Amino acid sequence: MSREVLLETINIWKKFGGLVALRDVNIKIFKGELLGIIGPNGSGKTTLYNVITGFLKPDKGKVIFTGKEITGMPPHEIAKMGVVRTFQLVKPFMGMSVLDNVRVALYMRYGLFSSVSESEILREAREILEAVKLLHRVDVTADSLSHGEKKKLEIGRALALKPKVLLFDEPTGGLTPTEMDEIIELIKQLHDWGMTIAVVEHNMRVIMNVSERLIAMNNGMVIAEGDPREVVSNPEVIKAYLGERFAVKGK
Amino acid sequence: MLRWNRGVFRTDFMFLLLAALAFAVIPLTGNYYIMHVLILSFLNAMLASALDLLVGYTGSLILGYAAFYAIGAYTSTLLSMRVGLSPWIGVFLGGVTSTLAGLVLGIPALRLRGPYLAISTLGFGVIIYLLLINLDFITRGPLGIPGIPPLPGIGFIDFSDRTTYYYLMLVIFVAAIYLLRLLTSSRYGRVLIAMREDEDAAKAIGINIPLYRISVFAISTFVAGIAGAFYAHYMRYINPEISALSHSIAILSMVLLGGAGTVVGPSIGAFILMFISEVLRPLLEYRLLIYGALIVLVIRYFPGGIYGYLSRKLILRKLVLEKRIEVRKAL
Repeated sequence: MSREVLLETINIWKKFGGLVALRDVNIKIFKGELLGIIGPNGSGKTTLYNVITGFLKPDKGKVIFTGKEITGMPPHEIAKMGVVRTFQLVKPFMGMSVLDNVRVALYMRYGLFSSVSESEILREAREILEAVKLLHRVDVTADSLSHGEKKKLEIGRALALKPKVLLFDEPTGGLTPTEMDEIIELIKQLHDWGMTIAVVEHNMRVIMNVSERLIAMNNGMVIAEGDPREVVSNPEVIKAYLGERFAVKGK
Repeated sequence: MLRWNRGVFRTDFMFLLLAALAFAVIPLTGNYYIMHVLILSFLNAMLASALDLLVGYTGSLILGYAAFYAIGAYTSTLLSMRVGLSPWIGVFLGGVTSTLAGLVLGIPALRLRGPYLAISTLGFGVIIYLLLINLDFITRGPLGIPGIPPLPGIGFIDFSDRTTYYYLMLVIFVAAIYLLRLLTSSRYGRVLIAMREDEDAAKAIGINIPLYRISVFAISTFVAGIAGAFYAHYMRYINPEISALSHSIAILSMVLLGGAGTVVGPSIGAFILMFISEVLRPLLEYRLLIYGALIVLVIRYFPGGIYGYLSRKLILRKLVLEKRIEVRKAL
């Protein structure tokens, strides 16, 4: 693949006390791709996201985005550069209306003192809320949304920043099957629009459904990478998920 | 540019206008005592609403807030008496000095959260209090400074007259509350609220949290400093007691009683507490017991404070409908 690398981690290490959360992680996210990242609990997926987006500083290694090193930059600057994430446990601005949740992100994208008019902002907020199918809920506060709607709102808020790469952290965690399908549709649609997306997921149905390329992690390491079908039948991956006994039957 | 959301803002503005009109007729009674109490209430209301920027909009519990009032008061007093500056310039510089002190405290302390921040601001308040008492070659210590010059008149307006000063304070009070309310309903205000709701999510959408926390601290302490300076040139006597912990607690009580996060509410809280403390004057320090009981009751039964409760129950019901229609039209 000679595609353009948009985001890259080089030899990332992260320790929490004696626990090595990330050991020598090298991943590449190519422009326009839809990358899936799987791995059992505690395999370091969310830690990797935290390191990429500046919420955690790596002990060693570099994060490169569009050719520039962003390692250790504060989260808000990384977000402004276009590396935008969502959270595993939803974090909408609970006391604010759905509209304001998106609006405040738009303010940050354009800058607080920009000359972009409020009607312009509202028009864009409308487009975003339409894309995530929350337009009928504009005027309620975020805390009165259902869990699935909160997940959508968080995606909407991330979209408001016009991300260059969108990092989803378990976008379908805790959702009903119907809601899950909606989110899958949404992710696919964003991908069709040319957005670069990485999805951390547990749910195999979701990950096999959306990802073009798959990375599997375990114990803070990348253990397999490539075509999704090949990765999930890789004995290492099966071992990581199901334990030693099942590894043999795997293939 | 600062833009705001017209819905709730309009009710607050109408409310402020009505209150201003009501206050404007009070001097007609010719009752100097009431005017005196109201002047002090205007100043405390400005303090409470400015503190609300920190308590209600950034969710930071600030305990030594009266220190900034005292810094404004002493700065303007000393500059006008020792340096001979016009008290008008003194008032402005009182605000500036208070802001600088706010930055000195805020830049390290605003990294802290919750009780840690509360304790560090409490410590700051105590330090200022002790400095005012012990730097007696500048501040005359606990004796205080008498004979502070009044604000010089402009043209034929004479501010040493109580009625005139009353109107000046009314105008300053209304302007301060209006500007603070404008600020909180602007884009800037929405960013503050987002930060308060969830810091991680705020970072993730590109909000530079330390910058916003420091800037709002600077704005708030500026207003507190100006209020303190106006107090000094009104009373024409100050002593370190204005920076005492009991005053800080009283201001915080006004915020909680009136309704944190509403700007207008804390001003209402200030008027109510000032009124109560006048009525209960014979009880001396036991008044604090009643303050305490009142706050416990309000927090228990009306967590949003008086204004929060009122706006939710009475005004907002109608307003929310209007706003929804407005939002739908706008979209």
